[in-house]
Amino acid sequence: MRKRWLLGAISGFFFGLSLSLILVGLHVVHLDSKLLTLLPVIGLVLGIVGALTAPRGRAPKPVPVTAPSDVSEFTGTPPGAPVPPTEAMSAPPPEPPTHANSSETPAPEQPEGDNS
Amino acid sequence: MRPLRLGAAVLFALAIPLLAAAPAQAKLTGPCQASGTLNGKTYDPAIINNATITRKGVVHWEGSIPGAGKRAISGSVHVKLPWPIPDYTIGSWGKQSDTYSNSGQYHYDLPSELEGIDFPVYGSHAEPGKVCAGFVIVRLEGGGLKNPMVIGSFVVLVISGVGLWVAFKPKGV
Repeated sequence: MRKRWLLGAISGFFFGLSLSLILVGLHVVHLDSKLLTLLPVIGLVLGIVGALTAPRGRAPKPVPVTAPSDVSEFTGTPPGAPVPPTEAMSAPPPEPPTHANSSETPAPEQPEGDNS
Repeated sequence: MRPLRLGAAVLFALAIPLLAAAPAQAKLTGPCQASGTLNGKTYDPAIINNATITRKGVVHWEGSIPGAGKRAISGSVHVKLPWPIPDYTIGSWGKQSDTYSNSGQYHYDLPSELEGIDFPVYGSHAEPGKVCAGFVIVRLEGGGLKNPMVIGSFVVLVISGVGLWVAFKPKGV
């Protein structure tokens, strides 16, 4: 967790403080105005809350690799050059049938003889 | 008896003296009278409550209150600051006094960072049967966008604004 809340707190406090000094320096408010002490506090709180509630972005998506389905397009590829993966190549190969337990292996159908 | 004791009338006239200008509804109550002269101009707190003065100068003040005999007095002149900062007291007086009028000079020299700021100055005096209270807004000449404090504040405002933008930026992007 990056300390965004700390940056928000410090920035918000100084934002409010500088705003107070500007207001009093431009004689918008008198020196005894409670707004002068409220603004830094409000900035501090809003900075923390704003940083903590900032929308969370998603991790960047990987760029999809698009490969042509027609392998014949790669006929011009020089020998030894890497071949881009295709769906068929990227898919895992099917597991070979296991014959360890022959009882579970279905017996091949025998051709029915003419018993009649 | 020290002259400042009687202050009553006087000191809170001190606030006034710093004045210079705009007539408005005065904020002065009680039987006290006071006036101040700054740069050849005399100000009466009974008729003004807002003044613009130079950053430094000498105020010739005088004040009085009707009466006779020795009595207990108390009072002060102070600048109100934003809560929770305590008030700044310019002067105060108290104890026993048999003085009912006084005059003097008040030298002041304020930093340029305070130019353009409105200072609310309050004064009060109390003695048996008499209470005076005064209020005036004193503004130092100049200031505005030329005030170093304001310029610095704008710089800090921009820097902290960038900090807020970074803090509020969506995470993970």
